[in-house]
This record gives sequence, structure tokens and C-alpha cells, in this order.
Amino acid sequence: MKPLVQPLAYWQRKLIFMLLLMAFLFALPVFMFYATGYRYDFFSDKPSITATGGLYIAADATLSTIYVDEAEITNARVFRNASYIQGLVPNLHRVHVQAPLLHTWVKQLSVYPHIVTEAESFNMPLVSQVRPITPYLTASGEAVFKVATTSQVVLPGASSTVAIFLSTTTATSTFRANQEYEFLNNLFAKQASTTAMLAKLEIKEAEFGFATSSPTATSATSTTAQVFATTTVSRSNITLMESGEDVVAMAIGTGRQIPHYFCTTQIEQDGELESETAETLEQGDIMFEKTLSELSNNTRECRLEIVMDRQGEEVLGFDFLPNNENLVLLLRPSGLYVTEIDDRAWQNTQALYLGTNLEFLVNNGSIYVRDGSLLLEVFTDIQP
Amino acid sequence: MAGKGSNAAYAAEEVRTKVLDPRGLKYTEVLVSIFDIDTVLYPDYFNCLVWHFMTAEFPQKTSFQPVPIFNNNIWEAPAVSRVVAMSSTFWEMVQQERPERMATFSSHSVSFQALYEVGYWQRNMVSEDSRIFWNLLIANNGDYRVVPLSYPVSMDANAAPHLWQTIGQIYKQHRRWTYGVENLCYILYHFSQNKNIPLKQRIVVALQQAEGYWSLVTNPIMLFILGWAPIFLGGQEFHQTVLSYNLPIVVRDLLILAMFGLVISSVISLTLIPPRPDHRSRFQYLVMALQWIIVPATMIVFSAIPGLDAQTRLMLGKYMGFWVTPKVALKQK
Repeated sequence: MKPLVQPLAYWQRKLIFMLLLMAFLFALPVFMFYATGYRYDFFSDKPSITATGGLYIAADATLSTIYVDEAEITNARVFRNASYIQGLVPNLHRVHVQAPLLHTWVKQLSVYPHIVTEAESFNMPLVSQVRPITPYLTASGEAVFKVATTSQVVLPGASSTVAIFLSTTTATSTFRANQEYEFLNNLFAKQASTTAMLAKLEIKEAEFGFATSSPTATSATSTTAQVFATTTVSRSNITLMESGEDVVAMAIGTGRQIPHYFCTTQIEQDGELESETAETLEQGDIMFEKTLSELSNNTRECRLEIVMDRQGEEVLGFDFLPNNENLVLLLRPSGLYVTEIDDRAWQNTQALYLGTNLEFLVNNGSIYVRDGSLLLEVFTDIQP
Repeated sequence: MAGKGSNAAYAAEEVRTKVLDPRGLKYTEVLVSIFDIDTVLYPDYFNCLVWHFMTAEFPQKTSFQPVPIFNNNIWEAPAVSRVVAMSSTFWEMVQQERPERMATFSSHSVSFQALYEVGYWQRNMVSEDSRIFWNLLIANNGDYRVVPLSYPVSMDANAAPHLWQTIGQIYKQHRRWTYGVENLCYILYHFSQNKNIPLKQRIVVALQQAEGYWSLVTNPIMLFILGWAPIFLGGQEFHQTVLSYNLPIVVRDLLILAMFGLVISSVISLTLIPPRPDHRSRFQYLVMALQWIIVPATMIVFSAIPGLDAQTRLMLGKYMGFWVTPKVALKQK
């Protein structure tokens, strides 16, 4: 029986192998150049190969949209809350991150050849999202507000999705005491007394040149961050502290422990990237090598501190935003604000809760504000 | 060692002394086919074999290798077993297309004269099926070859009463197969001793075998982690580069491109399965087409890991015995 199939002849297989090898050898540098950021600009007047960079933008807000130089970026999301935008010409690029009902985050970021510039955007609600915490609750757990008339607005300038009960009588017998209110009330009181004690300590230190006791820890300000005093808060590799009228963020640690926005790269020190000439590209490549070298050897130029932008107002209190060491809560006479430490171009500041004579504290991952007689939990996102 | 090699060698000698010699049959005119217990032959197998034997340039110095298709019980085997079985089938089909790289595997045929000269199958080996080829190659000073029959024989896919038992069986079977790496040391030793084998042949065969066993256990793992490993291992200096961000994207796109191979595999595999039993629905065809999606996992779990296991055992001197794959006739539901 003569077989119906025969293997390909050896020379035929060799020919196919050689063709595939050539395809591989041709494709390999193409993929390598593409992956390292080189792009061929087909549409320019003088088409050429350009060494591009990228942006990695973290955006927690749902339904957020990213714009680079006013152009919407699509299909760039690599994770649920982060986008990688590649093929950007080395230059300054203006990035917007916006979402419905949230503040817009805007930043001008430098893009360098072969390097990805990282940034973390944040978008706080345009209208403060709060949960009132009242001394009394109804039997079904609703917060009870004592009002003169039921038409009275109890949460001006804020929005809440929890049910509240408006009571026009002063009788409390039908309500039950709210233990959360009592607990938070005590925390605010404790924070106030600790602040007063430390103020006395500071006066004493100023008089005698040294402190008579070591800085006292307080549990009232924050339970998530390590607190040395009301004027110093630390988390991860960053410490927030008062410096005169300012609040400064100090990087703790050395080398790779220092957050990237405290440091400049060789490119940022030497870079002149306005033109797209071959000379500039070559210069960019040399600087890229230097940058890699300094990253490898931990010889980056890093600042020790960044001054927080208080927009000309006095800072009455500060803490880290829960679960984020790159964002700072600043209590100013006009309200409670969230400000980013990253000061590339500028520091974005967004109002979290506006009002005067406020107090705030962070406890167990939540932000609480005392606004006169109101005690509120303030949220950083839109409540469903 | 209790196993297939010892049994086959004993049987061959029994046949020689009790059948061939008493009847005066010439060893050169006797062709021996050795089959695993689950091997089912198609009607023209021996026609095909005899044609190749009669037309081979050096029939006494040639082994004849059919294509083992693991499809006897394919309708009863679970998806993971079907994919692994068909992957093995495809590998053997690929091997048929490059006979200069082939060694005998599982069921095969060989001249009795050649077998007699080397003392039949080795009795102390797990992978006696491939070892017989290497013994014949070395004994004939490199003048020995495998001729692909391009004709199928059907064998069983792994199937146990329970899924986990099946998975265990597949793992052990592939560990036994990949323990064929023991041949590499054997080949290298004899190639260094037997100067009558042409130097080029010794170098080429040794490199092919070494590369084969190396890539068998490393390539699936490398493909799996290639896109992500640099991110975890590259450090901060690498993490800030465009390459660090693009690597997973490029690797992902290349693997998607490579998935077309799986689509082709899926189509071909559907042509290799036996007729659908009445108790199986047509929907099962769809499952059999889509089951190839699990190949990336099976490549690692049933190829790379058992291969690493087998090679590590050999390296540490924890030599394996012959593990017999249970052949269970599952009740038809």
C-alpha cells in the first residue's frame, strides 16, 4: 500500500525554516524598538523615527476620563484605576482627569524619551458627601435632627444619602443615644486637650531651649498613621510637619524608599527637549542612559521636603488622607481641603468640606468633621 | 525492573526460541511490532508497515513509527485529559514531519534481526521505547533511523473515575515520559566513546536532544512569565522605562497571535475524534472545540512541571521506577 502522505523534503523544511528565521530577525528589532518607545511618525512633514515616552496616570474615580493636551484618551486603561498612555512626544503635556460630579484634576507633566512619567490623580466630590452623626437615633437607626421647622435645611452645602429624621420637639424619650456620637465627641475633646498640652510644651521648649519631655503620642488625630505629636504625622516614607506657618512633607529613608516626586532625573536636570531635532533625540538618549545609571546607583537628586500649598491661608490642622500617603488633608479657615504632595508644575487642591471654625480628625480610615453643632463623616467619593 | 521493557524482551526471546528457530524463520524477514496494551490498530496498519519495510533503503537498520492518537476513550475523558492527549498526538504528528529528529515512542515496529543484535529492549529502563532506538543507533555506528509511517494507531487518553485521579494520572504519565531525559546522559556517554559515529552526527543529535529536554521544561514557564517577570525583577530603574510598561502589552499581543495555532489545533482535533456515541450530545463538539483555551495551563502543569520533576529526580539520583498508567474502561453513561 503506497502511503498517501509524505513528509516534506528536508530542503523544503529548511527553506521554510530559513524564511521564518528571516521573518523573526526582521520582526525582532521592530518589536524591540517599538517596545522601547520608538515610533515612526507617518503624518509629519518630515517623517522620521522619534523616541517617545509615556504617562501612567492612576485615576481612582469611577467614570473618569483622561485628557492629554485636550484630547481624550481611550483604550489606555491597563488596570481598573490606571491608564498607560504611550507614544507621547517628549515635551510638556497637560493632563486632565475629570469625572461627573467630581473636581477636575489638572497637571502639567514632562514626558521624556524612553521614560514613563507617573502621576496619581484625585477627584473629590464637587458637593461634599457626608453622613451626619447625631446625639440621638430613631429606633430604626435614622439620625435625629432637632429643628424649628421641618423645612429647615440641616446640611447646607453638603449632600447625604442616609435617611435623617427631623424632630421639632426637644423630647428625647422616644430616641436612643448614639454611641458613635459619644465616641467621636470624646475623640474630638481628647484631640483638643492634647493640642493644648503640646502648645504649652512648645512654649516651654522655646523658653528653656529644650523640651522637658519627649513628644507625646496621641490617638485622637489618626489611628492609621504614626503620630509623634499633633504637629507631626508619619505614614510609609513621608512625614508631615509644621514649619513656621507652613506644612511640609518630608521624605524619610534613602534611595528607592523616597517617593519619585521628591526626586529629579538626569533628564530633568539637563533636558532641553523643546525641539524634535535628531540632535535633541540623541541628547535625550544619552540623558536616558544617565537616568538609568543614577536610578541603578541611587544617585538621584532628591529634595528632603516639599512645602504644601496652603493657598495663602493659615493651616489649622493636617493629616494624611486615609489609605493614601500622597494626599494631605489640610484644615484651613475656609474649610477642609485635600492637597497633593506632588508639586510637579503645581499642587492640586480640592475642597472636601467648606465651612468656618471646623475641626476634623481621621479615625479608623474615616474622616470626621465637626461643623459647629454638626458632627459629620465626610466621604471622598460620591455616595450611591 | 518490572515494566514494559522487561516483558517485551522476555516475550521476544520466547518467540525466538519457541517459534522462529524451530521453524527456521530468518530474523531478517521478521518484523516485530510492539504495542501498548491500549493500542488499537486501523485496518491498513500492517499494509502500510509492510510497504514501508519493503521499500525502505535499509530495512534492517530502520524503525517504523506510527502516529499515536490518544482518542480511544476521548468521549469519556474529561476536558483536561482530552487537551493533553491531543497535544501529545500533535507533537507526535510534528515529529513525523522531521524524521531526522525522531526516536521511537510507545508503539513502533522494528526488524527482529536488529532487535536480536542489541539484546531486545532494555530491562532496567523506564523509557524503553526510546532507549531501544538509541541502542540501535549506537550499535550501528549512527547508521540507524526512524521512518515515519504517517499512519495512526489509537490509544487511550487518561481517564479515571474521578477528575483528580485523572489529573494525577496525567501528571505521572507525563513525568514518566519526560524521564526520557535519562537517555541524554546515555547518549552523551556513548557518543564520547563510539568514535565510529560521524562527529557531525554526534554533535547534532546531542544538541538536538539537549535542547529538546531543556525547552520542554523551560519554554512553557518562560512564555508564562516573560511579560511579567521583568516588572517584578527589574527594580526601580527598569520600572520607569517605557519598555517595562510595553513588555506585557507586546507579549500579550504576540501570544494572542500565537493563539491562532490553537484555533487550528482545535479544528484538526475535531477531525481526529471517533464518531459521537449516542449518549453524548452535539453540544459536546462545542466543548471539544473550546477546551483548547486551557492549553497555557496544561502546558505548564503537565509538561513543564512533570519534566522538571523528572529531571530533578534524575539529577538527585532518585531514580524512577516504571509507573503503569491505569487503563480503566469507564462505564458509558
